[in-house]
Amino acid sequence: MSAENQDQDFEKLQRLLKLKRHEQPPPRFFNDFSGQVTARIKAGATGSQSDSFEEIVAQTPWLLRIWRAIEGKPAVSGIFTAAVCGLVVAGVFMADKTTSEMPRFELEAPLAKTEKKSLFSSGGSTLATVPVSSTNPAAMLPGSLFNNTPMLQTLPASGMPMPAGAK
Amino acid sequence: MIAITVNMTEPESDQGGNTAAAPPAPKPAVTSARAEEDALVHRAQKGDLAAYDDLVRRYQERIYATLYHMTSNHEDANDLAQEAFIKAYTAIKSFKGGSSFYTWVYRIAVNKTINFLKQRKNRSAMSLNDLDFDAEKDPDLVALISEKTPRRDAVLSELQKKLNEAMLKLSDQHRLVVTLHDVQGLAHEEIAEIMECNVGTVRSRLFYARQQLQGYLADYLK
Repeated sequence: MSAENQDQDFEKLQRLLKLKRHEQPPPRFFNDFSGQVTARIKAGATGSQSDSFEEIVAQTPWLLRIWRAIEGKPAVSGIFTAAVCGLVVAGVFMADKTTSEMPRFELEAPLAKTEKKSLFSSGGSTLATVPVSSTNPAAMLPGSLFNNTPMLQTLPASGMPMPAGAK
Repeated sequence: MIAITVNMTEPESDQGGNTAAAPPAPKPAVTSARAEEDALVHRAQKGDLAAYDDLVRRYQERIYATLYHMTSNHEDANDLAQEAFIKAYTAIKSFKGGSSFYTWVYRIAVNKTINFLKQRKNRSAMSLNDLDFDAEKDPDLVALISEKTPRRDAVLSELQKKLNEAMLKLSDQHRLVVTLHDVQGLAHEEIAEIMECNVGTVRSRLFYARQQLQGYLADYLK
């Protein structure tokens, strides 16, 4: 086909395409259109969760590029999802491994053992019978670590004990 | 019937498939329209729904028409246009004014439609709008029907169906270029901005799309 014929055909094609401009929606379609849009916005029919996600994607250029690359392409999105899942599984596996190799300080620390012993082995029965309250704090219970703490006594500035009845 | 008032100058085609951009409107009018639009956008960004309603009414016909020509389905175009405007409202705070609001909304609508078309790929049910009464009087169309079509009794609606079928055979990107340029009359530069590609790509896509359409509609273009 010569270039001249091609150009002529494009001209004819454009004339034919003019037909599309005569296609019209039903009468009064646009009268209600904006009202429907604003009503849906007011009603919160925007699917807030997905839209907020889309907004985040729209505001992040690199994420937007990835999203566009995978959206609508089942094979690519499948591979991408598989890769993400693989990374998550690998991450969980690695985290488990790392945790099991680490020493357990809470269980093996001597202080923790001592506390357990003092609280439960010697004072266990007392703990069960003597209720703890604001006037009877746990610090004063027999067998408690705090039993060895010397009680503070209030002394006058002179260092002599106060006479009885003096205030 | 309400006509789709696409208020754009029809592009004049040159021989290479290139078209001259529509002659620019007088500058003061453009500036004031842009300033008015900016004010509406600013109000909408602050949550003024009435201002956004004004913006929707300004562009609803053009956006709907583009989506309709892309889908050849009135219901789909309606849904997509509404969703595009709703999405634009939810994201309006992120609109920085780098392009016109019109281009920005167009881009949202077009991306939404292309994603929709990818998903519905294998079920292309047409739901065509009626032709207006002016179509019968259009001299170009009358000539095509009375002289060039293989069946002279072919009615416009049949031609409309064939044209839409041919359009649907194009890839989404090629159909979009033909729609925006040959049907809606946008300039190459505007299309490039909407499609986020360069003008050369728009021109080459347009040329290829026209060639394809020409092949599909050869019987009607003899």
